[in-house]
Amino acid sequence: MIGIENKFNKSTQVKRYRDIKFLVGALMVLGAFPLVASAQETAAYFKQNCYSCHTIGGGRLVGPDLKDVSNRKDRDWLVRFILNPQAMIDRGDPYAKQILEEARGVVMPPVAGLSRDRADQILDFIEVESALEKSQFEGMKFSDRPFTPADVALGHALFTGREKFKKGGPPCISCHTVRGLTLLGGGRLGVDLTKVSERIGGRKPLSAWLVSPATVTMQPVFRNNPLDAEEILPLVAYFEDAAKQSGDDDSVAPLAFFLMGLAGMVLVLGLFDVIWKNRFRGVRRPLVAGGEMRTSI
Amino acid sequence: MNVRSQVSMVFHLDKCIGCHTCSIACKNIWTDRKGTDYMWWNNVETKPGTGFPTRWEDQDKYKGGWEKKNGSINLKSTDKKRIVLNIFHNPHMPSMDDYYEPWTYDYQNLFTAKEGPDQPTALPVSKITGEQINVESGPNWDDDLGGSPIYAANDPNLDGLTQDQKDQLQAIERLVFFYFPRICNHCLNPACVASCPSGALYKRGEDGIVLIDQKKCRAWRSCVSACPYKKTYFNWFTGKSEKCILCFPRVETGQAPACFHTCVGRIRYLGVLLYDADRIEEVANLPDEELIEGHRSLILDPHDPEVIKAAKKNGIPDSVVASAQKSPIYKFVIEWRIALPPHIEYRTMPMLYYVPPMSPVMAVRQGETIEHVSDNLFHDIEDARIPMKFLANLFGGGHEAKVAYALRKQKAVRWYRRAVTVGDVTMEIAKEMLNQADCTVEEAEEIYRLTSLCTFEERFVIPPSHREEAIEMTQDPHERRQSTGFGFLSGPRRGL
Amino acid sequence: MDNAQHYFDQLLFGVAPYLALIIFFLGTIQRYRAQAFSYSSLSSQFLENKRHFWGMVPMHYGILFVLAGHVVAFMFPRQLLAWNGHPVRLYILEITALIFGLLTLLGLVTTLVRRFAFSKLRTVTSTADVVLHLLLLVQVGSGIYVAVTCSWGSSWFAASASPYLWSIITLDPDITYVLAMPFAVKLHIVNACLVIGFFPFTRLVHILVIPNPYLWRKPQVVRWNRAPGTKG
Repeated sequence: MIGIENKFNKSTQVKRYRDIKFLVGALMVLGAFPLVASAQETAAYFKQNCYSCHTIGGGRLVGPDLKDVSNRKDRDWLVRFILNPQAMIDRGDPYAKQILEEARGVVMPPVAGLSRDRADQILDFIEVESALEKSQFEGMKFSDRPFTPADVALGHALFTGREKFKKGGPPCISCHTVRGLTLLGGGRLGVDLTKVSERIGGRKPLSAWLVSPATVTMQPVFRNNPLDAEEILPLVAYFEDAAKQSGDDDSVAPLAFFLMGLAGMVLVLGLFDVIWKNRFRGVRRPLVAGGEMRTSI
Repeated sequence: MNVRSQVSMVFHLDKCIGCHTCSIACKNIWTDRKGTDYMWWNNVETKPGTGFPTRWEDQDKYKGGWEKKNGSINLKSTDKKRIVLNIFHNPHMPSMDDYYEPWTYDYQNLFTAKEGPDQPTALPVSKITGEQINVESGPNWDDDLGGSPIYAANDPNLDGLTQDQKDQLQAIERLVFFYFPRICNHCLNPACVASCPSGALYKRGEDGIVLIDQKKCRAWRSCVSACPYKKTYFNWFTGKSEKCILCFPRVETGQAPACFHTCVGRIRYLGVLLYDADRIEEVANLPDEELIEGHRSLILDPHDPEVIKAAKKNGIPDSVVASAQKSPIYKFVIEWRIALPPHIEYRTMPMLYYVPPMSPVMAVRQGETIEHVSDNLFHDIEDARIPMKFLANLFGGGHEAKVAYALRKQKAVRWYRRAVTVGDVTMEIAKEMLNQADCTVEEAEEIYRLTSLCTFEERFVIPPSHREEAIEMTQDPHERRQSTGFGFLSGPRRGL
Repeated sequence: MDNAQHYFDQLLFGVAPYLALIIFFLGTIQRYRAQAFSYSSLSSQFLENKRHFWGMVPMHYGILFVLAGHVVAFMFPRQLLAWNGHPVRLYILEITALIFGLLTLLGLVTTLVRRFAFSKLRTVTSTADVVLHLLLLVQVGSGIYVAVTCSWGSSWFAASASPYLWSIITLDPDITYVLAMPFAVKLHIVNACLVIGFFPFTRLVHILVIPNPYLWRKPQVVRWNRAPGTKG
């Protein structure tokens, strides 16, 4: 499996971005987007992009179980939904809304490199897998031992980066914050993760989600250095704990940060003024202005 | 011994009448372009006065030149460390306010003004913005002591003068001043060259003229602050520095530089000096009081066979050596020792020398009578109206002895000539004076001749250019007029 | 995903950087060959030197620090993440970077205001100068906005922007890193391409001729006019 995954990463990446390679890219942008994928590749694609939220016959995670999804809606609808879920919801499609409700308001993120053909292949693949006795995507196995305070502490350390991820992924604090984290909070590029466990639907879906984070931004970052099983457990522990603690609202942190920067700037300006205190400020004007006409030298 | 040749200059201040012809000649040839309007590569200052730019000699403010520190010489404000840190804002660069805003007059108004009760006037308009301005200052705003309570009173050379001496300079009916024409000194140890981050400034090997490579200049502006004489100017339009080029296109074609050629008082001399380039740093590092002697010791005797041999070895053509042997500068500076470098304490080793000016005949008020007579033959030198200290600040690095020597010799020559032609001084006294002034009859005759009767050829002994060896010299000098800088094939224009 | 949107993204993040770099290299080289004279910082300090200080010093020191930060994050993302591994160190880095970013902004604004406040300076202000100023204002403004609202840039730059930039210079652009970034970040990237592409046509070329040999050359420079080979 690992071997296939690696091969997948390389080959699709090459195919997917062949059209934007230097110079050739410039010419081919308006041309076709060639994609021919084997079943094996589609499986790998599914694992990379869908599996963190969906199982085939393993029950609901963040998103619905996709077993026999083709029976629920017609192919055209499904393709349209996969390509742009937000648009379907915005258009007020009743079934799309129902899905949204079932997912407690989590919208399926747009998937990188998705095309009409690709969506078709995935649906074909799901049909094949649904027909099997036991799909390879029935769901991952996670330990369900109770969390200990040590898990929470380790999760906190992983979140802030004090403990590094084994495969070298960046710490969560780079982009995410959790209430009550530390002084200026965590990053605000991504969403606030205080209630993430609740939003995603609990321990199991969250764990599955963390195996290969599927948002457009996170995916490329963690594609080649995913989280380890021993890291996911403490992280989930920390998220659940943080949700329970639910620290103070820290939405003023960016303002505090900005003001600190401003104060620092004023300090540095003062420093400049001191360093160059003897700078030339003009000779003639002060001389003429200050020189009352003396009667003798 | 590393012999090099230098085209150098003597200005005989006793002959300067302050007519500014030199300035105009220079302006008409070189600095009548946009961006150079305010530059006066040649200017004539009244002393005492604050000069151009205002109080340029005040190095506490302008921080130009070199200073001796921990046994070696450093640029005062433009050494490498400081240039790197100060490259974004040069903290010792004067702005246009300290020179002047160039202006012209709205002459058109004289023709186009509507009919009215008053005569139309031509109002001053800025040559930078084209807007009307209040003229506040000019290149010789304090000419002939104009506005002296402000300007003359603030001459930096007055430092160290007693109140009596200052009063004497200024007293009504005894008011005294002299002129101080200035061009680039084409120094041996130029601060501008040393400071340039781009290496755009250079000294020409053949004749020592200091130039700015216009294609390499990037407007880092350090030369402007580095030059203690403020003789590099920033062209605000092209974003390049420019300076006096000693009319090298003229010199190369055997003509005297324009300011020299046009000089009405014939105060200017030009000729070659041979010097030892290996000893420049050592000499620039001497204590203040030894600088003038050290500077002189750099200059080599062009008649010395050793020097001639070394010059040949260094590729200096025989014709240049021959020219150096006839150089009037060598006579003034080395043989007669009456020409002195300006502000040697800046340690740039200037190669333009000044013969200090004599003051008007002395009159000392003693009680109610005015006393003209003294037993001391040189009393009017020692008690000159222009205090010796003032001249020493300008030409002696603060030390009076060298200035006194030059003035005494000048006076002795005058009295000797008076004995010869007028006869109201006995030859005995004249010879005694020559003796006291370290001068011989032959030398006095020579000084007299080169001061009073000098022909064009005697004043300007221009070394022949060797065009066959030169690159820059092969172009028509007149092509260079109106162009920015020199040696351009593509038209100079301001960058985007 | 919408196809038009897809191609537009490719154009902005996959193609535009190359166009900018091509223009940058061809433009600066050709300008140096044809118009070496025009390579100048075109300093205006001579015409006005008081505000000049408050514009140039903060702007240049600010931009140098911030640019150096970008380069370090680009070259050594892992080391940077290691440094940021402790929140206090992360905060120190972020605040310092913000200080210099704000200095840059202040310097830019001062410079722009100064250019229009003094009539002497208006005569030496070209259209290119104004466009450049506005581009830089957008660049620095978006940078500061991103730093404050999309923290912590120093960390996610190393995680997301560094690989993106590496993918650009290794001629294998992977735009997925930046596709879902907030608008301000995308603006920062696209505007950077604009600045780089516009670079050869502005006074920014003075950056390329920073005087490094100055640091080790001898103080005095002598040039000989003689033909090569003759003793000098």
